[in-house]
Amino acid sequence: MVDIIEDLGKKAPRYSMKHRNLIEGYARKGAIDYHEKTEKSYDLGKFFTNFYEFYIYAAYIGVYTENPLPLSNDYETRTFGVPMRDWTSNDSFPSLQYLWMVTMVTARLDLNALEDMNDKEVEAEMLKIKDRIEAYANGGFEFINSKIKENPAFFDDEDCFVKLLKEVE
Amino acid sequence: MNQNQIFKKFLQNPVLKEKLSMSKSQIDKLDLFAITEDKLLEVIKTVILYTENGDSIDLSSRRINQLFKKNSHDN
Amino acid sequence: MIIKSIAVQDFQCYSGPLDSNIFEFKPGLNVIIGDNGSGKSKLYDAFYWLLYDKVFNSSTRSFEPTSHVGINLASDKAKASAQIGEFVEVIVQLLLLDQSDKGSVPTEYLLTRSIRLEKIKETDDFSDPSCWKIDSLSITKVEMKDILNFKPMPESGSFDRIVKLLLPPDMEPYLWFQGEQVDSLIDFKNEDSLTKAIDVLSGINIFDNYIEIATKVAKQANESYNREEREKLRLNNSAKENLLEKEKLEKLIDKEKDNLILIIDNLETAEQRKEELLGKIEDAKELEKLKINLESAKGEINQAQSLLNDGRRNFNNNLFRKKWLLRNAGKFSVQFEQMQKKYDERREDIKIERKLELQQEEARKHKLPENVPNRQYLEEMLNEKKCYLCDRSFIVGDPAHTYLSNVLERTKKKKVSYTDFLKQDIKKNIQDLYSNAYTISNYAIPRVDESIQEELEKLDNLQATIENKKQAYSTIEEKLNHLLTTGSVSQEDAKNIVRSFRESDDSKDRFVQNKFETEARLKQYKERLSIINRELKSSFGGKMNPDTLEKKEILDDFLEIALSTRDLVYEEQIKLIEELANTHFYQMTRENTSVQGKIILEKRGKSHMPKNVDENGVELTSINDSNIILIKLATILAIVSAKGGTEHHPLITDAPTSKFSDNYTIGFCKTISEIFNQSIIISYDFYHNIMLRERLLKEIENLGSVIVIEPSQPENQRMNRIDLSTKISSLN
Repeated sequence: MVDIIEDLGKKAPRYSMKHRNLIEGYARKGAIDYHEKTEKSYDLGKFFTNFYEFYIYAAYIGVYTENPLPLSNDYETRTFGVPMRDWTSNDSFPSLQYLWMVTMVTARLDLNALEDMNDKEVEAEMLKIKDRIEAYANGGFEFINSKIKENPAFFDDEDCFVKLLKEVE
Repeated sequence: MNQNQIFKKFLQNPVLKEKLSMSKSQIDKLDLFAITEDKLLEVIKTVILYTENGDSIDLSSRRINQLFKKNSHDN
Repeated sequence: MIIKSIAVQDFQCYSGPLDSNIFEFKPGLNVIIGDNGSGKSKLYDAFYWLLYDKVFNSSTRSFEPTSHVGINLASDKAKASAQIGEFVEVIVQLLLLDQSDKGSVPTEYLLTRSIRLEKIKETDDFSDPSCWKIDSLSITKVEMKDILNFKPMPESGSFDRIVKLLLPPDMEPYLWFQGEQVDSLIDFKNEDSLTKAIDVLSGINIFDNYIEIATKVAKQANESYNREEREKLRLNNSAKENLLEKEKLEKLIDKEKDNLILIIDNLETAEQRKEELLGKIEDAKELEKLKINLESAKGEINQAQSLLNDGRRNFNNNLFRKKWLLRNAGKFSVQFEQMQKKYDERREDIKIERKLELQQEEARKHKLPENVPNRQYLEEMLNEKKCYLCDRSFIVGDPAHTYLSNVLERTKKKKVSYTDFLKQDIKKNIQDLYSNAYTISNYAIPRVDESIQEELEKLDNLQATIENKKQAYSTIEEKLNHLLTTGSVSQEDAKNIVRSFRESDDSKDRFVQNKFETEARLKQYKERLSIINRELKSSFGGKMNPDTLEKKEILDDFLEIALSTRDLVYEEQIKLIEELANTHFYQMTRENTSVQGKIILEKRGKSHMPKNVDENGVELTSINDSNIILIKLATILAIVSAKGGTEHHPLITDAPTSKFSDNYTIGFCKTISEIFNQSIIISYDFYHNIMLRERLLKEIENLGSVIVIEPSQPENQRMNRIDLSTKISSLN
């Protein structure tokens, strides 16, 4: 018997190294980014308290733009080294759970079928959900990247990521 | 100020006026050379007449003392 | 006494004989005008040398005797042209007119001072002292005009006597001064500067002499009285005790009197200090207050700034905290709900299907073999270990019993659970996901836009608050700077002033209390002393020598009167100077409406200080340099006029108006021309300023000679001083 929430929680999604710079540019590695020496960059340079917060954000952008983009083999991929059950900073976990739900919806996951599967099969299904989340995040990052290229000044304002949400309504 | 003006200054002093048994008009008439019976006035006149700036302190003191000796002698 | 002329021969830049270097003066205001380096100060030096036999050395800024200056007194031109064996004679000659004895013909005096040098060696450097022998050093001569001719007066002291008539030594500082001396002559910071002046002009010293004499004679009289009294009381036992107490009381009274003097002195010092600080304390308090306000404004800005920084830093955290990120994701919750509904329905269907299947299976399993009795019989048979069919008993463990037990066991009803027919149960998971989604989509998502707006407004408000606080900060800072530049105190002083003010206020209170207590004690002692004196008097029943008693009483009175008369005269003089100083101040400033206030001479301890106050008596602290000089000049003029010196003595001053605007300069000239019978001012002011020169010639009614001096060669074209002489020309 598989607890699918617990199973998803154990998983650590991957991101493409293609987006590493983007992630580092807007998110701190942890609650306090010790690599940043000055208060200014600590204050103003970063919009997300954690890499994974930006990841969740990107995944939603992927969802809203309906642009799941599976990780390709062109780039190395990595996890943040933290399973999803621990993505809790700033009360981010409910939003992550919501993302799981969203992904299940868009993946048209057959919940009844799931209950007829054995553990291995269920876990395989959950892996697909994770892959889909990765695809959304990847698509989201792509979208943000293209947005930066198109209008770099857009990301100067502190509320740029909020504004972006309105653009992808 | 000359000596008579100095004497007038003394006479204007209310403290002196109080000690003299004279009327205001009598006092106003006084000058350094007027003759009076009042010994206090005599002392003041003596000090004015015999004191000049400089070394006349002993002389004036002597004159004042003589004033009393002379008077007591006369009496 | 007025100066008719000064003539100079071969004195420094004034080369040539006496008749080519003559300045003629008249009654009224005489003005000598010259550019810098034209010989103005040399003329002043010539005056001074003649009168006092000293020459001002500008490098040491002190007066040196003629013997030190030596050959430098002589003009270079004269020295250069002299041959060996020839003499250079430096002469300054002053012609004076004495009209002080109004009944008789005015007397003319001619004062001459000279020095004669003999050239003994020829060298290239004519200034080499070894070339010269001083033939006669500083010879003075006094001549008096006898109807037509000047006749020498016997030397013994007549020169000095006439100089003293011209410039009495006590008044000399106020009649003869350079502009730059005015500051120190009446020094607002030096308490003595006015006392000295008052001593000079009121002859108050004579009263000090009277006091000294009175003290002396009163002491003597008291001593002989006491001696006699003691003598008389020697054998009287009852008087002995009184006598002892009297002595003790007298000592105590003396001690308390000294104490009182000290306390009054301290009290005056504290009052003065307080008074001094009073003008500054308001500024200081304000400054302190502003500093505190500035600090707290700074704190408020920092606080608001850190709130803003926090707000900005946390702004994006609201993507998660306030679920802004899910702003567009509400529809998924609805879809999930449908998905869940379907799942639930389907799940129910499956459940029923599977249950049916199971029941059939169950029913199949429950059926006993055909040749076996029903379940109830079978159980009974097994319990009784007897077969009802063949009526035989059997033993537990034999094959028949084991068979029947197994059959029975196999067909027993089992409890059915859902997991028996589903491999997974995700219902709870789905419920959890849904309940999370339900809360978010029903409560958080609908409020997202409003919440974003709120947070943005919060940041805007904070930003606005900071701007306001910064504005407030600069307003305070501006006030502070204004106070620092216009006020009477510096920032460092402010704290000290506030503290010192409190301290001097405290000590003033303490001294007042002390004074009160001491006076009370003194009164008590004096009363007791007079009782004792009465008792003593009665104990020897008027046996005292009446002369001794009278002398003592009269001389005690005399001392009291001498002291109080001196004070009266002093106060009178102060009032007089104050009055005259204000008169002169108004005279000098009448052309200039911007000058306000009046001069008061304020008692400071035993002395008085001049002060400029407004009509309410509040000290004017923001007056400028030329106002201060004006006040001082007015005070100097007041001192001279109070002494009655304006009629008999000339005022001679060098550059008194150098700090003044045109109106002040004319005001000063008018004033001295009105109050002095004769005055001579040496000035640069009218040289280049032609307008001012015209005003001088036009506006001064009592104008004497106006003389311009110019060097024979301009200073910048002067190669050497050998040909230097001075051109003197009269303008009127």
